[in-house]
Amino acid sequence: MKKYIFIILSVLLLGCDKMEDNVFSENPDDRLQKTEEEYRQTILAAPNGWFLAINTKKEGAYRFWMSFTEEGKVAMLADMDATYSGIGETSLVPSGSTWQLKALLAPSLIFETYSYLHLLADPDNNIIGGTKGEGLGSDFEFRIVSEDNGGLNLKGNFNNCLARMDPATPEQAVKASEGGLKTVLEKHADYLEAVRFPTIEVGETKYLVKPNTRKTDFAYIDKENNLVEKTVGSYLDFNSLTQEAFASDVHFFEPVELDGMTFKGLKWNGEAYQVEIEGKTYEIFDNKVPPYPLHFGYNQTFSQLYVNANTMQGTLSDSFMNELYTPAYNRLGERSRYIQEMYCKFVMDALSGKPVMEFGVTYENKSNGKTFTAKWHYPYDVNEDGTLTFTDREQTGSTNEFIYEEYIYELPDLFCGLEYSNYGDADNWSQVVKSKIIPHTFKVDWAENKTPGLSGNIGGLFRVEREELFIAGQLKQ
Amino acid sequence: MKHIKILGLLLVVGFLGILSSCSEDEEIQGALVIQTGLLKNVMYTSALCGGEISGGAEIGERGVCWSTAEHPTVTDAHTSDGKGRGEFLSEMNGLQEGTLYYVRAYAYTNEGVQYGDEKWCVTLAKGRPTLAMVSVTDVKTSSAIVKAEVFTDGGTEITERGFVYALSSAVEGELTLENAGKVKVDGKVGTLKCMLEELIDHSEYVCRAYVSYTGGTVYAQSLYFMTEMFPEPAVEITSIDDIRGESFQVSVKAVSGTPLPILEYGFVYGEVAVPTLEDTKVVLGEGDGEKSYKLEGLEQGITYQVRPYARNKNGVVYGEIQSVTTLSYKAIISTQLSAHITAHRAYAGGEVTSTGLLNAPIIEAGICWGTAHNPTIAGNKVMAEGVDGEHLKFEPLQLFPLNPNTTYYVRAYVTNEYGTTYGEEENFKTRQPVADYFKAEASKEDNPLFNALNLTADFLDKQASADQIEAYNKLVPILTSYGSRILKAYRISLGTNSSKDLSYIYTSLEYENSSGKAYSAIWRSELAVNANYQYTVSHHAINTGNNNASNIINSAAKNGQTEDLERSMNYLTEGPFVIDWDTESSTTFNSAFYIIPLNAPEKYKRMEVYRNTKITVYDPWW
Repeated sequence: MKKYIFIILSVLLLGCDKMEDNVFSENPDDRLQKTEEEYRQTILAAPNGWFLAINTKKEGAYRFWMSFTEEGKVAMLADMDATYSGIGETSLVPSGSTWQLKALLAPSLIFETYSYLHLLADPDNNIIGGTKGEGLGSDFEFRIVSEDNGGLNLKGNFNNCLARMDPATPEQAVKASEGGLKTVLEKHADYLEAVRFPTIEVGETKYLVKPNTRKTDFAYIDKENNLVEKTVGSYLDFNSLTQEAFASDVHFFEPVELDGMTFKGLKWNGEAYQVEIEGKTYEIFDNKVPPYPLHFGYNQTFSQLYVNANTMQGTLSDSFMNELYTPAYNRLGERSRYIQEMYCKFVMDALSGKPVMEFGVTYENKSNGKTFTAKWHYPYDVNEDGTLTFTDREQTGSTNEFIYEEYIYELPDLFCGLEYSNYGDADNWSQVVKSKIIPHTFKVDWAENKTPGLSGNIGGLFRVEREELFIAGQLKQ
Repeated sequence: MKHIKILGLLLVVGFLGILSSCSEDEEIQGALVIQTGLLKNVMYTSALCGGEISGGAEIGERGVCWSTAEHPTVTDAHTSDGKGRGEFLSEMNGLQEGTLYYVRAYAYTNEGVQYGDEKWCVTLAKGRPTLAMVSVTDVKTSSAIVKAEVFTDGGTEITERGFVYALSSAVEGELTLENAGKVKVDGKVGTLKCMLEELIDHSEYVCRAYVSYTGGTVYAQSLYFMTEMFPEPAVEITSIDDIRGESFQVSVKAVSGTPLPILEYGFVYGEVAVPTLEDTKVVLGEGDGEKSYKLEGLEQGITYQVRPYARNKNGVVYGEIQSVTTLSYKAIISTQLSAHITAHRAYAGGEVTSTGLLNAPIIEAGICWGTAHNPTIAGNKVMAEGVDGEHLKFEPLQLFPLNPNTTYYVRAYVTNEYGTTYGEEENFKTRQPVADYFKAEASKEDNPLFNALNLTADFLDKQASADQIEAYNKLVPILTSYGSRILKAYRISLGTNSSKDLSYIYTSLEYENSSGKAYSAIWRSELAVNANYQYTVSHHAINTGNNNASNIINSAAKNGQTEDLERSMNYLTEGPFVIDWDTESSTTFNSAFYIIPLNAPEKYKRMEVYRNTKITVYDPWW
């Protein structure tokens, strides 16, 4: 009986003997070598060279055009001269290196001798910036992660920089050999000048999507009213050169997850950039100002605003210039004193223990070349709708405002007007008696930057009863 | 039998077990997922893709589909790569070169055709070679190394490559194979480098790389470079001889020293200091060589400047000028300027080199000078003594008074009965005025090296003037008469005012009485100065600080010594004077300066530098 049981079990065991399939017909080393050889053939097969984009840790994308030879040499041009004038004509004068594919943990593309590519990782930060010891935090040895969409996805072996290689078309190669790597970035500056705040609107939320030269910035206000910001390394293709488009498509090194949406890149549709999110296409428009509320006030994102009327022409309103600034400027000028700058600053008032808005007018005394500032403090109420009402004003005690307020009164009166019963008889501010206080209410908001060459965040205080009467300037934290 | 039944039962169970163990997997549950595979091996007309299908139901035909438009479907080009779930590989063929394709995996399911995510690629395409210039280096007189890079062949056959180059002045528009010289460089893709040779020196060239291929020829951007210039040829006068009244002979030697030939050489000459080709030219020949030429029809007694020249394609080079004076009835003289030049003085001598063809007696010789070229005896002059037929050379004469910081021109002259001739013109610039140096020195905050000039008894042996010694000596008996006082110093101190300008002069007697006690008697003066740094005394008085000076004046008057006293103490009130340097080393301690009366320069006072710590700056005291 035991003999039968043994036979049956043997048959059963035989029936269950599933020999493990040999999934790979070659050993790992052979497979690695075969993959490496396939990559080598791919690299050498491109008749018009390759574009290599590297997402450096410090500054985002740098782009190269390269040609590889079977003899292990690689010649390249680079786009660094678009942003570093002292680096030489990297987009026109070739630089050379040697290359090899090496079977490390993964097939790795290695650039061996110093070239434009290595400038990005040069530890001497006088070369191209970045930090001492690591430069821009770039790589010159890359493992090939995959081949997809006709190109190679790479990752740096040291700094883990993402990189992407795409074969060039004949037209792109010709443009690249003529300095196109620099030109395409210069052309993009025109877009950035024309569209200050590129924005998309999804539902009721506006998202800033700003494709800068080497990276793309995202920003929006989340449901908790927090400003959420993200940045991804991005690079431009050559469409603005080869297809005579105004702008080139923007490619991200990796998709960006933002507010539950995935952004993969920006395409130029001939009129504007567009982005595709979950099958729907959104067009990017110029919002003129940041697409999220301005937080300007005491302990806010921004607490200071500086106005230089001479360099902000166009951004300041005609009402402000004609009714307030110019009359004040001229009267003070008749006393050899010239307004240079104004500011609004939210500070804590030590006496009252409450925040106040400090308005200052800085002027130069031409007779001795020195500058002085007249300053006023304004207590204020924050209203339910977020507007601010400046309820009073006090001089801060210096002779600057005490002597010259009468010549520039339109400016301090903008926020809160005062009338006096005895100013002329007083020796200082403490002896002055106010006969009438005229408070004004202001809305805090971004101001449109209409001055060519003026940079930074521009915000303003808009008088509610006359919105065209506003003071705007460069915001500081 | 029972065993047979049991065995049969066990066999049935065993077969069922085998069948059970070998049966297919059960239908996988879950949502359909179609994943488009990696899109790779993209070539000119083909590519590899594929996909993986999991989940879903009734999975039928599968593959990839592609189109040049986004979102391709099975109505577009597609593959059919089996049925059912699992991974599959798709070969896409029949693609167009250089075309953007969108690719998706698909599968037929119970819900119709479903698609995976979209991939895209651009197929390879043949274009044209691309290239760029790298550099032009090692630019020499007739060669340069040029380097370029052929990046790609664009999938074409490169048939030739190299550089085209030409003189930039020789081409209009772009440089091409048709309008320029070329150098072929073997190879296809990669670096090309070669040396351009037989270039013309000192010339601008334009150069660029070219690549010819089956579709034509393409060029890199042009680079310009300038070849170095060959060294200039050497040219010199080897001799000037046979000098006569109306002629002399000049020999010139010219050597190229480079492959550049000398196109012409010779000499130019004239009475101007530096003759050029604009003046009279004598062409002697071309190429390397040495030739002579006799100039005739010249004027007697004229000094000519003769200058050799040579010309090649790069221009003209001149050799060293030589002067030659033709013989004359008039005497001929040469100017010999001394190197000793101060702010107010200079020295020049002369030598009569010819007394003329008839040896006429010399009437007068000397030096004349002025601030314009070619000074004559009608202007400033100083006559030399003792120049005659036997004494032809005279030692440097003092030119005085000169103005500081001024350029002067000077010539020796000699006159005989046939007229006056002048030697070659020399020029010099006088030094800065002493007052400037005083001002700079006195302006130093702490311990100026000196702030005064001083004359003491110790200094009498050190080149004091006779007048200076006499003045000192006349003071000795005056002080003896005054009461056996002993003269220790006759001091003239110059001092600065609050603006550090030389403004005061103190003339003092330093003496001791019989007990050895020291006293001073001081006369002081305020100075006025004109634009030429000539000083006059504007105010003069004895010091009011004590009675010493008054007592000495009274004593001298009583003893008939007033004239001697005033001769020494009022010395500088008599007329304008200058203050001058001694030598270049005047700024060192123990060196000397001079006070020199304009009207009697021989009555100079030689003084040493001195730091007078007693000097106080006075406000005007009159």
